[in-house]
Order: sequence, then C-alpha cells, then structure tokens
Amino acid sequence: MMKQLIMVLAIAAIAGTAKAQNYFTRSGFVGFYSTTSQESVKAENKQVYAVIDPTKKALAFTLLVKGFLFEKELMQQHFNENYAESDKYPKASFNGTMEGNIGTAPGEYPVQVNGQLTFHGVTKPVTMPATVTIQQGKLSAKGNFTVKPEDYNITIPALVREKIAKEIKVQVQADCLPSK
Amino acid sequence: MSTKKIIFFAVVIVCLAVAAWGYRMYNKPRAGVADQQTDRTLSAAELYRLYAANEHAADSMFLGKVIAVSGVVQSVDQSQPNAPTILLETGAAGTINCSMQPGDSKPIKQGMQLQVKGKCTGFLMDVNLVDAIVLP
Repeated sequence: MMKQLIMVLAIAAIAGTAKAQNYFTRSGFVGFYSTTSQESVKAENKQVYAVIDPTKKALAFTLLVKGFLFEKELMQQHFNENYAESDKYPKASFNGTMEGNIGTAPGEYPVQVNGQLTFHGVTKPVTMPATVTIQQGKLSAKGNFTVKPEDYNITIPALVREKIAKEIKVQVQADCLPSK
Repeated sequence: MSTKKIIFFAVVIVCLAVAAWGYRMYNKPRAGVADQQTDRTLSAAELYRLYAANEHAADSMFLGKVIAVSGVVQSVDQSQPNAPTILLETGAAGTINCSMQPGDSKPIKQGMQLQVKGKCTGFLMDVNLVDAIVLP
C-alpha cells in the first residue's frame, strides 16, 4: 500500500497543479529492441502508466517490468530472472521535463525530453527527441532513445554477449486523455 | 559393426537429440494462458482488495500465476492495434488492468460482465494481467 501511495503522490506532483490540464493513460507503450547479426530481440509492455502536464512541460512514466512480453518464452524467463531481476526490482520509472513549445491548438510539437530513468535499481539521466501531438482532445507523446545494459548494472554473460546489442533501442508512446 | 562404432553412433545420436531439444526449447514461443491451468478464481474487487491491503502478501499468492477474474468492464482502450487493454471495476480507485492477447477478437464493451483469464504481473495503481483472454 505504501508503494502505491508513493506512486500516486509522484503522479499527483504533476497532476495536482491548479487548473492545469493533465493527460493520463494506463495503457501506454514501451518497447525495447536489440538487433545483432545473430539475433533480434524485442519486448513490449502495453501497460505503461503515464501522466503528462503540457503546461508545466513535465511527464512521468511507470511500469511493471514483468509486463514486458517477449516472443520467446525462454527469453522472457531469462530477462526476468537473470538480467532485469524483476522479483527484486519489479518497477521501472521515468520522470522528466520537456523543452520546446507545446501549444494548446491541435498539432504536432517537437520537443526534447530530459529526465531520469530508473531501472534495475539504477537511476540514470536520459534525453530523447520526442513529439507531442494534440488532436481531438487527446495528447499523444512519442519518443525513442538508446540505453546500454551495463549502465543499469546488467551483466550480459560472455556466451550470449554477441547476441545482444551493445545499445538497446527503446520506443515510448503514450496516448493520453485529459485526467478527471 | 564393432562395439566402438556402435558407441560412437549412439553418442552422436544422443548429442543430436539434445541439440534439437535445446534448439526447440530456445525458440519455443511464449505460451498464452488458454491452455494453462487456472491457479485461482476470484472477483476483481477481491483481487484489488487483497493487493491494496498487502502488496507483498498478494504477490506471494498471485504474481506470475494464471488467474481468472470476474468483473464489470469499466473501459476499453483500443490504442494498441489488435490487443486492447480493458479495465475491470473494483469498487475502488484502482482497477484490474488486463492487456488482452492479440487476436482475441471477442467484442468487449463498457459495462459488460466478464470473466478474464490472464497472468498476473503485479500492482501499480491497478492489478495488472497480461496475455489475457475472455472466458466463455
């Protein structure tokens, strides 16, 4: 219950601004992709919680690591048990701000996102180009960046090192509705 | 055929069989929940109540388990192609967030009473299920 309260309070820190219109989703998307000459790996999580405040240009994402689904059963098992250690570190989160003009009129607004990504118990700064789209009362945010597994204390065994890319591509998308 | 040759061919056959088994296991697609045994059946309200009361204790009962949860559909999010996310009402602020298995084409609408089977991945604002399917 305490963790839930902390999570709700973190979101409230963004969502609680007076009269600001915040946007929220419980079904955002984060996918990561590793491509080498030996193997392609992809994992996708479609239960990403995101809140975006275009007025304050702030955003926060959080997800359950076990919600990353792989095409292969064994890969998913190894990811959770050996790499992400999802029993020990069940959640990942991102808190950040956006640089760039975000208008209130429908349209597409390019921004630069700067923030802190916490994964596997390690918090590191992340920057990424992103696009914020306002359309029909909805706000969509889309961006991508790369991470190195070793930056998050993830050790890849030598046996499979050549099968996993040195830099993992991460795609993020959140289609948010105005929060009530 | 000499004994040595028989042993040699037997070892080769065993090695090939192990390699084939390993290859098959390595490439085995992620199993959906349709053919998996249901570990627990309960209502959406009860599942949420157990998690909200004690996340750690609830994890020990449900995390990674295949569970069947009944409840009323609060909303359906179709933003992910072919794989909607549905929220089941719990009577509290949180819901049961069900990421549906792609291709499960049964139409789902707000207000429907459903029983959903899926694998529990834990608790954020909601209790999350993945690879979920609607039970008949």
